[in-house]
Amino acid sequence: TIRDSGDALLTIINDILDFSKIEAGRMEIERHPFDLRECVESALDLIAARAAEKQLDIAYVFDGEVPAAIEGDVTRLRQILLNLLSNAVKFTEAGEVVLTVSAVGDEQTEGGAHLQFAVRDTGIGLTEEGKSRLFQKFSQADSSTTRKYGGTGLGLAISKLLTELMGGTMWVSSAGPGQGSTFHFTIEAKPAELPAGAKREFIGEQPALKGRRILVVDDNATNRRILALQSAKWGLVVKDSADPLQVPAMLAAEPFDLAILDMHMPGLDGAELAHAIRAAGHTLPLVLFSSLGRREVPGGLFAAVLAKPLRQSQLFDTLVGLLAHEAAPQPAAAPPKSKIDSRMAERHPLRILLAEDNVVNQKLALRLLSQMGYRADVASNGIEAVESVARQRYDVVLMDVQMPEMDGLEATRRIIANGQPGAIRPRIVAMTANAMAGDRDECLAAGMDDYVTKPIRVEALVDALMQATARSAA
Amino acid sequence: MSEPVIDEATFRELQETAGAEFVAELVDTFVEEAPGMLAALRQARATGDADAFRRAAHSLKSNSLTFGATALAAAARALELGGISSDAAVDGLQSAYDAAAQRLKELRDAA
Repeated sequence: TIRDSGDALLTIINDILDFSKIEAGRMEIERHPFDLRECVESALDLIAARAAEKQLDIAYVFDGEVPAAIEGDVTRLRQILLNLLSNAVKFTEAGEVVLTVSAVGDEQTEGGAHLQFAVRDTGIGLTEEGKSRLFQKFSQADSSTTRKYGGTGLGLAISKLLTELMGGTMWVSSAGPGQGSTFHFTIEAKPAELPAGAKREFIGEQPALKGRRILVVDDNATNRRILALQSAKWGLVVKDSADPLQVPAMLAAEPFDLAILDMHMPGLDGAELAHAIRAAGHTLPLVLFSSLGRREVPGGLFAAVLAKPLRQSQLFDTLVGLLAHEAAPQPAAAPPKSKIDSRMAERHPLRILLAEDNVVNQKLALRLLSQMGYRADVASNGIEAVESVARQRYDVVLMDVQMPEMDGLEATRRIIANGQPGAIRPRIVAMTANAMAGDRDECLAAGMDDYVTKPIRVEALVDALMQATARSAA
Repeated sequence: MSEPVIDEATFRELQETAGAEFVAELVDTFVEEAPGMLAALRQARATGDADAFRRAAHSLKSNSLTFGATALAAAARALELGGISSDAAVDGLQSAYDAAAQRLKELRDAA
């Protein structure tokens, strides 16, 4: 198609420009602190779809003590990773692509602190001759490769030069044709402070997870290793199995708090295994690990889904969401009792619609609102919510996510779809009892503006309402 | 499980925020609505409706947390996450509810 040819041409031009720049000594390498995990995960995200299409497992591992942030050029590092990862996916028909990051040396060692990256695939592999031609410009390992797989043959040459500019080297190893390859490279990597606004750190034992027992079932050894390693670091007790058929016996022999099941396994797939587990009477929460993410989940079996490539933050949120004891909201040591400001509605008037089916929740929300001086209208399900918004102007809709007939997510989508161009729609605030990142992402993806978690805290409700502004008459 | 039937600090905070008289009414509402949720849960189990089962467990959990009924909330949560469950599990939920309702009424009347 025209777009594909255009993209291909653009890639060729960019590659040639990059290469000339490097050769002419005009390529500038930046030195700023950046979040290493973020860089790696974003590179993986870019190849995830293609890998899923080919049913390849993709994953990454931080091996040993790897700094959370380093000083360097995040864009160029991502470029190198992307080059190696997309090649690996391109030249692999079955199996996996795994990126491993490890720290080499430190400021005291000669050569200083470096990071080593390795992209290993189970693809077509390389001959000795192929290896030697690989990094030469405009060449690929085998001339027939170009016809079959495309590409300029420049990407690797550029990547190699970039690693050298970053104080490292690149090399390849392969046991031979058909036996996959591993591309290695090193770069200088002075540890740095995480930049401001960086993501949460999930380092070390987590009190919320300590001692909880989980079972990991996946025929892929790398996935088992990654899940087990990371979970163990957080203080969980992890058992694993490559064989789904062994699982019911394992569950019968010892108690487990949760099980993670890969979807695609020989013999018995993740969903079939889940059925078998339930049939045997086990009630522990089950998590599906799948390349296709939520799309593959059969109803009712799984409490959560983990998508591939696995993101550390997603694993963390899922485990905490399912395993940490849900305490009733505890008042902190001695907080000032928040007296509700009864004049809030006067100072900050809003027309509010409350969409909530549960009677107790409805009454409580209305009570808190009335204590602030607000009188809200009520809808008992998503359909009523959509109709109410169509009938009158509201500034805010407090939208419960779980409702019968039509849930809050669908109602939000309809409200947005029904909106007239130019008209200002109400601010939609999700009320959700689930704190898992995936659920919040779902709310945001449906178009919601904000969320408060249930049980509702007065402070959270006040904050959410203060963010809303009165919509001027359409 | 060593969860208290009602976490009294939570209950008191609810009373302080929304008013003791209002909370007394809210307890009445809960006690009126909960049997219906339990029945819906049993019905869903009988017909094998996993979604309805989960929703009923979720609603019970949500309301229990509001009042600080931690043992009931934990039981409901286990069913919500575990999916359609055995007789014993549902009976366990019923007992947890009975204990919570009993204690809530006592707290309501004592206010």
